Amino acid sequence: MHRESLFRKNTETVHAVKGISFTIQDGERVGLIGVNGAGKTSTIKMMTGILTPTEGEILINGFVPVQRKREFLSQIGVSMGQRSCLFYDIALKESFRYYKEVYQVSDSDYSQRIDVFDQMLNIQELMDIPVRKLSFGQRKKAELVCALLHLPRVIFLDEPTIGLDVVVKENIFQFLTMLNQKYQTTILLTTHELESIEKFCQRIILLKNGRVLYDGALNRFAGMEDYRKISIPKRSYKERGFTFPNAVEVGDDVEFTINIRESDFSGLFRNMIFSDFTIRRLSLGDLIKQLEGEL
Amino acid sequence: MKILMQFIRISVKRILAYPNEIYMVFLQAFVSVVSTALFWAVLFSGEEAYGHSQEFVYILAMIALLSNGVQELFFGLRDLEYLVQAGEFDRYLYLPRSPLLLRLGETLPVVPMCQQILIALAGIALVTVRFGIMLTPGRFLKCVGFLLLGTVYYQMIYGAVTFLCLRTENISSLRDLIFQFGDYKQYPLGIFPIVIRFFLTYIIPMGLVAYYPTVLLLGLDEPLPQLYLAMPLAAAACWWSYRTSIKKYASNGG
Repeated sequence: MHRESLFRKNTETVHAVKGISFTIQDGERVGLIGVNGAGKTSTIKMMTGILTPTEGEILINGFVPVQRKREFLSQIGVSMGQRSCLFYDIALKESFRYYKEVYQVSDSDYSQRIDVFDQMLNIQELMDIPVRKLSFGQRKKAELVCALLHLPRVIFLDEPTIGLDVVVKENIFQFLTMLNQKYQTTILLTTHELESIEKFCQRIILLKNGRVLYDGALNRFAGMEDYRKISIPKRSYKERGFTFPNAVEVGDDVEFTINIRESDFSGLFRNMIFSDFTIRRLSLGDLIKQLEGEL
Repeated sequence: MKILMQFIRISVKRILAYPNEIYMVFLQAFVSVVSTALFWAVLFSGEEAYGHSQEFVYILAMIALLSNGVQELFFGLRDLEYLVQAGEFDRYLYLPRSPLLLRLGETLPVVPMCQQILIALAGIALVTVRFGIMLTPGRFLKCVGFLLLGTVYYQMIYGAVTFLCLRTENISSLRDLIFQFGDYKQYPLGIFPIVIRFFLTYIIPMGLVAYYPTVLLLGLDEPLPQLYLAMPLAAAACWWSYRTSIKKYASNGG
């Protein structure tokens, strides 16, 4: 029988992250990835001074985040995808003006930056609309502007494009790329949308249960370049007597992965016409699923 | 200074987004003060009750409303607990300004604050004329000064309790306990036994925000509480509570 005390709380310490260590250079675009509960958001919250780590040391541009020095906080920009920083009932421009004062951006810099941001995100036309009347995508763009009005040296983005359509998503990543290239801004991004990571980040840090599983170039992740995913109709798969151990049925097709360095890639599809099969690189998602299965 | 102007601007814009709210807030403050005055009017059979004159309790009601108006400056502390529970406090921690200043500024209810202060001042003027009270600018300034001091002292005690929510995440029972004493500011402190008087002066200082300012305004001969020790103690408790609790702040999941 399990007895639980009414007055004494049994507590168990759970480490959100444990023993993680990495260095990010100026101007890098890094994707912090992992399944739910891997420790991505906790890592970002410690790096931005929201959470106090129980052990270890974090330095961002020479500052200890948890000390929350004004010089440090003026150099970072944070956007938490599931939180809003806008004033819901009033015109969007009031939120922008507010953050302009919070970050002490001069009038001329403010106008200039709004113009630059507008070219990418079309925000001028939204200025007089109350935030509550904006669409979800428009709000997200506005949130990003608020977080970046002061042109931070380091940007932390936690699920910045969650729930957005492809057009707005594309728009936001173009904008972030512009900031990265024009101002050498360092960007640390977490998202479950791995296609965005593939397009945007040169480097990934994969977390699992609070530990770093991989830290390095995206194209070298789990031998990404060595594998190809093949999809052929079930009929052809049977006729040719294929028996790949990792084959799975997907609709009318069979999908399997081959290592192009080990397999006789050219001989595999001899006498097949192109419309019969498709070959593609493994996506980051495929690799992570594969790794999760193995670990 | 610029950020202060922005707080005010946002507060006014917010209330203008819902114009009906202006009348509602005015009505609420007006009804509140009239009902208190009515309460005392019914209670008084003669010139005095419990050793206090009618003009004293009417002025006390107005000063209590004035203090409500001033306390609106700290409105943002009231829902700090819910902010913490929802993880919404995070965003104040990565902005390059004091998180508390931003919280208080963003939630500053300028219009309700001004309305309550104006109704209270009008009420004081009305009672003064009706009862032929002689007010001097010096007494008025002393009254306002003490009211501000009392409000800061009260808010430091309230803050010391409220900031614990940063570590415990739930503090509403204790917070509501303080709120339960809110109505005590409507009553003359003299009607209570000495222990309650001490409690309402130094622990939950309702007497400081209404009763003693009234005494000063009317120029009555009554000893004032000594805050030389209490004030730094309250400030230290408030500071300690915030500094230690913020280190334990755990936010919430992604």
